[in-house]
Amino acid sequence: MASADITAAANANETAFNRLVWFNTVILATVFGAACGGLLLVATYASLAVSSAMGVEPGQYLMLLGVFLPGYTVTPVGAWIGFFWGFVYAALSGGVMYQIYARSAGRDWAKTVTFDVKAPRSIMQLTLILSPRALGLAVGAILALQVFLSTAWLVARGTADESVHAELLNQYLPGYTVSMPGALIGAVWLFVYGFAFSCLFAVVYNYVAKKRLGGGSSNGR
Amino acid sequence: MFEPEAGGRGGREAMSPNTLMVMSLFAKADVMAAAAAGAATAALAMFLLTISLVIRGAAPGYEVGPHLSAFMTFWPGYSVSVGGSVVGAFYASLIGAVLGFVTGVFWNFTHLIIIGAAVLRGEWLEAE
Repeated sequence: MASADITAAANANETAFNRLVWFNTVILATVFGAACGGLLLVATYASLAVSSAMGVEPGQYLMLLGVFLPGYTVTPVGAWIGFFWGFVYAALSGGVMYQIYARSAGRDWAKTVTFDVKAPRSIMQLTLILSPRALGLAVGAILALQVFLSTAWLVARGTADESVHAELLNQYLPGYTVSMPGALIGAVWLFVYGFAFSCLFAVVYNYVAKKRLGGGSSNGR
Repeated sequence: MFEPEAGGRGGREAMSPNTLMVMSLFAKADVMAAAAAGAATAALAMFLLTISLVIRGAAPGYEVGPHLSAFMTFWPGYSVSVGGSVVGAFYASLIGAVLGFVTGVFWNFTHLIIIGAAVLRGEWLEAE
């Protein structure tokens, strides 16, 4: 095969890969956005319902999200504003997360799937297998970025000293403070937690998936 | 597209790299596995979140985990205590399972639509 043909084929493969990854990115971003927005919507309405029944102020802590979600309040209208921002926020996070995952999972395609020989069509014979390392890297990076940006926002708006609720994160993130150095410390801790729990997710997923296929074919994960 | 050999293990070796790449990126997710993994991860996370506060405790006169306690609004029986950590893990596992299940279903559904459209387009082109 001539070198020009090899280059053209490689470029076509890279183009196809990029397009497929972007398609999957849109799918995952939509799912994450809908799930997060939906959860916030349900949580807000649930808080309103419970507070109405008990005769207390609604959303004692939910309302703190208004610091990060412009226009969000624990009201029927605010619930939908929260759905919108939750959708945007989670969709961006999910999209970036998948991009990191897809581009760090490697191109050894045989390791990314396992075979279900009982499936009726060849297309349906491949079942997704997750890469624990790539998933951990993607989720850890997103969580680290989120806590860093959230803390930086509190510092930038000048309310760092009043952010007593955010300060309580140091219960889980030793050394965290509502400051720029604290934001970096928090990011490191959340990367570690995100990496660990994502690896757990991938390991459990891969184990159950292969068990359901009767062991599947060995693929290195 | 390819012929699986006896035992099913030879199928992927018969695929071209490009075909394997496309099929791998469009491989179906195991929905039940995603639900199980979501449940396990969420349950463990919630359990550890709660139990760590219980172990750490609070200064005299202060409530342990006032923010986590807010989950009592949504999860009857939950509290920042040893027993409550188990209850919270249970509720979190339900949420994790639903999220994993929904993600897997939506992932498979959208890919099936695209694959079906591609197959139909290929058949139409062949018919022409």
